[in-house]
Amino acid sequence: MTTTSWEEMSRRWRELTEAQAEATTRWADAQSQLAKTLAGAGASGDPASDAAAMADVWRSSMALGGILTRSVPGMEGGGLANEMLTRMLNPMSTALVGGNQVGDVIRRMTEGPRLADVGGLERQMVELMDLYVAVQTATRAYETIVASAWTKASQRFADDISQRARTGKGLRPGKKALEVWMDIANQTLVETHRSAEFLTAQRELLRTGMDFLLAEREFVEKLVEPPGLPTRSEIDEVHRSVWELKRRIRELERRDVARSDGAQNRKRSGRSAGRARTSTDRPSRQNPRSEDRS
Amino acid sequence: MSQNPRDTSELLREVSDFNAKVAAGIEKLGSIKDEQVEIATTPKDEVFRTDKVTLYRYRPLAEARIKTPVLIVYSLIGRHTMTDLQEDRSLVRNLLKKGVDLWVVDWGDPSRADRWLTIDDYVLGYLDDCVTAMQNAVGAPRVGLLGICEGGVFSLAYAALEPDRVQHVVLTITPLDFHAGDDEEDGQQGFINLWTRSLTAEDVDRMIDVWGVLPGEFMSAVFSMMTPIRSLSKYNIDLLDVVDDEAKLLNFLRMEKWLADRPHHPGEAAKQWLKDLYQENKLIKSGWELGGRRVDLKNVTMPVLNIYAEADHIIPPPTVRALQGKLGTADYTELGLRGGHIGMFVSSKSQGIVGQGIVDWLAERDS
Repeated sequence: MTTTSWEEMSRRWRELTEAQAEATTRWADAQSQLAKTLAGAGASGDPASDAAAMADVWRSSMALGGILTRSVPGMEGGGLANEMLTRMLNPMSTALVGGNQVGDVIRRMTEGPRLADVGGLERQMVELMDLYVAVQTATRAYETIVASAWTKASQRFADDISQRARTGKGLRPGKKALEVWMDIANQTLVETHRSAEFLTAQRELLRTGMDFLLAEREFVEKLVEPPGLPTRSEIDEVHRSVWELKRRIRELERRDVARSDGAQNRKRSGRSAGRARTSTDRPSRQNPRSEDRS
Repeated sequence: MSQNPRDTSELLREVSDFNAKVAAGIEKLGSIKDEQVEIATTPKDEVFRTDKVTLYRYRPLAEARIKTPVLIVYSLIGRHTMTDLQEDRSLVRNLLKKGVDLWVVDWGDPSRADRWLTIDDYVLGYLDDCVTAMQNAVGAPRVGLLGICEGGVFSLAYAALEPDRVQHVVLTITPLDFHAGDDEEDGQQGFINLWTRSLTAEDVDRMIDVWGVLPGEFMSAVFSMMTPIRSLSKYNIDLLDVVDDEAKLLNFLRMEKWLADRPHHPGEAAKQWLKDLYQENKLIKSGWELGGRRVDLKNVTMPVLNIYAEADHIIPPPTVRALQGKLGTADYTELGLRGGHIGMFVSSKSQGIVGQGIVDWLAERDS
């Protein structure tokens, strides 16, 4: 890797990070604005405070989940699925939802010089960077949709408590309010997960992620091949060979069984009128344990 | 949510109760031993093993009533231990207590090394080996198959390809017509179907190229999208609700243990599952091929019982209730039971109902 390429990449990373930081600030401002908007729409005593309080309850409840699961032997963290889902659904993870700044940087990056003058690995590294940026872009698009769902859920919750206040059925704080919030949030997220917009964004995230990982593998394999280290592709090939061999062995064993069945049947029919072969005559392909015992 | 003094006092009391419950909960959870959360404890013996696959035979709990041995064939997505979650919530025990000679195939823990295994290998290889081992052990000319979810598809395919070796087939929560329910209103179609068909065949291929398997964690995340808030709240709100009731708490933890134990799905088999079945719906059209042979449902000439869960949001009833007139047997029965995909097996209300339904049906056909 030449110094020039490293500098180029560092510059691009710096720009991207700065744009993301700015986007984060904007997102926080937008949330603040949302709270003010909710305050204007609410009909109860102080819906904005209620919404903020609900957010606190929800966050502390999430933290509590962490404490409780850490108390259970063998269940620390609740597994990767929960972690992945929490990341997917946590509104704080939307902090990087970008505006045009991120898009501009990405455009400039993808329209930048192809660096045709540097060597193959360096060029591949830059291509890898492009794929990585595509993953980040897809992530932002995906998170925007998830963030919108949470915003919609907050709005619906605010509407719900306003409606209850208007009809004299005000919701008291505490567990009942949390349950109402959870029902509304669940319904909203389920609707989102079923929407074409969400499924498309998730597919793009998956696609760009897969493209990046495959390109990364190719890149790494080029690095490890010269010193003779095994690559993922080679190991996959070995596994494939083993699988094919096992299939052939199975096929040969079955032919052998069929042949010996045929011979036995011929013998039987020679000795007597012959008993029809039943499937119970079919020997087990292999059973190391019973073979050991025999 | 406006507050008056009464509300404030109620809130303070609730917070105080909540804190007390959390403190007690942490202490309780810390005192639970691993062995208290054991699942699948019904005694069984290993009969046969090949590669990562093991065939077990359960020890009887009652005098034999059903002569034909019955093999539980579970899905590759999840593990058969769900059928024997705990002593009082166990399909396995319910069947054994009613005199069924019960066997189960454990598919083991497929890893990336098993990437190339196909459904052909599972159905015509491993499942066939298990059937042979059962026949040799008990001298029965045929066996019964009890397929669950994807295992139901394996069982039905095997019955179509090797009809002379199968006495009867019981399918439970098994997707058969993967595209049924497409005409349902928005929000009513099966989510897995919706999700899988949002991908192209190339997307599926690339996932397997990258991971080599369909990772268990990935499928867990997809399932979680169907009940997003429940997935986020179960370790704080749901857990707190049961923490002071030992029986409920242990049941909760055992269920979580089963959920967390989600094996990887071998890659090539996952491609067939997602592309051939979810995307192209080949099974119900009798257009699926395994081992170069067509899975013709008209070859299923033995009795078939097809059980579905009325509130199944993973495999919705229309995708299950699809075999009428498609099989080569007139002895076909559908049985709808209350509950969800897994709830039908593990909920306290369903205990005994599934087992009784199966045994009554088997008893009439056990020749």
